[in-house]
Amino acid sequence: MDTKLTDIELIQRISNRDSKALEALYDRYSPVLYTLVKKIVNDKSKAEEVIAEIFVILWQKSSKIVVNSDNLYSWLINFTRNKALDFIRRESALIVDEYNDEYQDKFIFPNLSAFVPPNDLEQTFNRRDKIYSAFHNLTEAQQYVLSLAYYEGLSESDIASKLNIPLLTVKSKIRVALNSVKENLEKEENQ
Amino acid sequence: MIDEQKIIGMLQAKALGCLDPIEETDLQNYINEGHIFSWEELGQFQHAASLLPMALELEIPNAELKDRVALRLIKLSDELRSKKVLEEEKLEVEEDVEEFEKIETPYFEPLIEIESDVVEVQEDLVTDINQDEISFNLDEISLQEFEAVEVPYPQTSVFSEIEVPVENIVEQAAIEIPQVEEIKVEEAFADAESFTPPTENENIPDTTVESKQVAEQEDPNKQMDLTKKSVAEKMFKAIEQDFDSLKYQFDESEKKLTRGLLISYVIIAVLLALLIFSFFKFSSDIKSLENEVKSLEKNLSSQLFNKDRTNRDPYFFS
Repeated sequence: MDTKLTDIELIQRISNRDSKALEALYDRYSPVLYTLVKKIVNDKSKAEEVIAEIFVILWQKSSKIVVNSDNLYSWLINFTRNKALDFIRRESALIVDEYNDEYQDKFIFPNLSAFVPPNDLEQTFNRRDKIYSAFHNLTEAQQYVLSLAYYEGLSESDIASKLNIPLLTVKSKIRVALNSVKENLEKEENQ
Repeated sequence: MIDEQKIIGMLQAKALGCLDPIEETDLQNYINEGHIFSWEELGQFQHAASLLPMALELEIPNAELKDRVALRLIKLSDELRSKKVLEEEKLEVEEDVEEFEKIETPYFEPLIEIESDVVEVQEDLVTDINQDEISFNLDEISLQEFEAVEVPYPQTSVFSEIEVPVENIVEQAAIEIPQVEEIKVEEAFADAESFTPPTENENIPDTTVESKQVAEQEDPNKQMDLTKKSVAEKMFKAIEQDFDSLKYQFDESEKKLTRGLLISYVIIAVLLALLIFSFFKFSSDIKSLENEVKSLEKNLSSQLFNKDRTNRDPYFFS
């Protein structure tokens, strides 16, 4: 398989039932997706199970994948996060709805804005240090709130009740934190 | 009505996927109502949020995981294939059943009653005959001459397709038997003896050429014969097919009948066996019971006898 193929080209080939393309996508994305899933589920074997399910879904439903912008990376990251969060919520019986195609389309497949800037894994890897510093430049409180929201899948009110702080404080912290990440990234790129 | 500023304030939480369900529905309603929505800003935040995992320390999954994924995919594809095969088989079976149901019952030609000029014997006439005149002279009887009867050609669905004049068919029915010339055995031997094989110089008469010429001369008549024959053959084939279908049905019903008979024979045999068995068993039981009764009677009488003896002679041995 040609390793120079873009993410979008790979997913197009997968939708044409090219198993080699799926293998290439696995080789390319499995480390980052596995890291994300393991962070969410906090267990190696469960993380592996979720990763396997993700690639099976990618193979089966590749024709359903709608990437509005030229950014498969964001789509895959959001899809993986949704799937991993759904996995742990089902394990703790927080979700009892039947997992079917309709549910998957509504809650697991991400509905991203068409204005998400184009991006792929290679670009993101090249900017990895900048991303790292952009996140670690945040205050500890901001980092923690972002972690609770993104990796634990807690809603703003859940975070407020967990940290025993007012909801408005949580809202402002989340707003400021993500704005800061975005601004830090822009700054890093301009340097 | 939701404030636009409030909506803008929700974008970060929306991008992180941590909006409260109520706010999520509010935002969705706002979008659905067709208000101006900052999709571009949301896209920026979604992009920033998706970069967060890159701040984590990357872990490489176990190499076996790739094989597991591949195995699962192979299993899935096999299952899908087998499902497809099953579905196809089901469809085929359904189609076969539909085709089978579509088969119409075979057409049987209606029986044609041929009207003949044969005078039916009336029952009354039999009674009129004098019993004394039963013996009759055969010479006095003169049989009525039968006139040639034209049988109407049946217009059936099978034959209606073949447009052939009836006359041709009737002509065809009269099969001409070729007249074989009688050759005496002696003449044949004489011819054989007088036969001398042709020498090398002599030209052997080309009989094949002659026969060809003869065939060419006879062609027009033969062609006529051939068309007649083909029509007749078709007719015979159709009739044969009808006979075959009748024969098949008859065979089927015969088979069913024999099967039914066999089953009934078996049932009767089993019942008979049971009857015989129960008869012998009961009779043996009765006999054994009788024997038992007899033995009991004997025992009882002997006991009584002994008792009597002991009671009667209490001091016999004293």
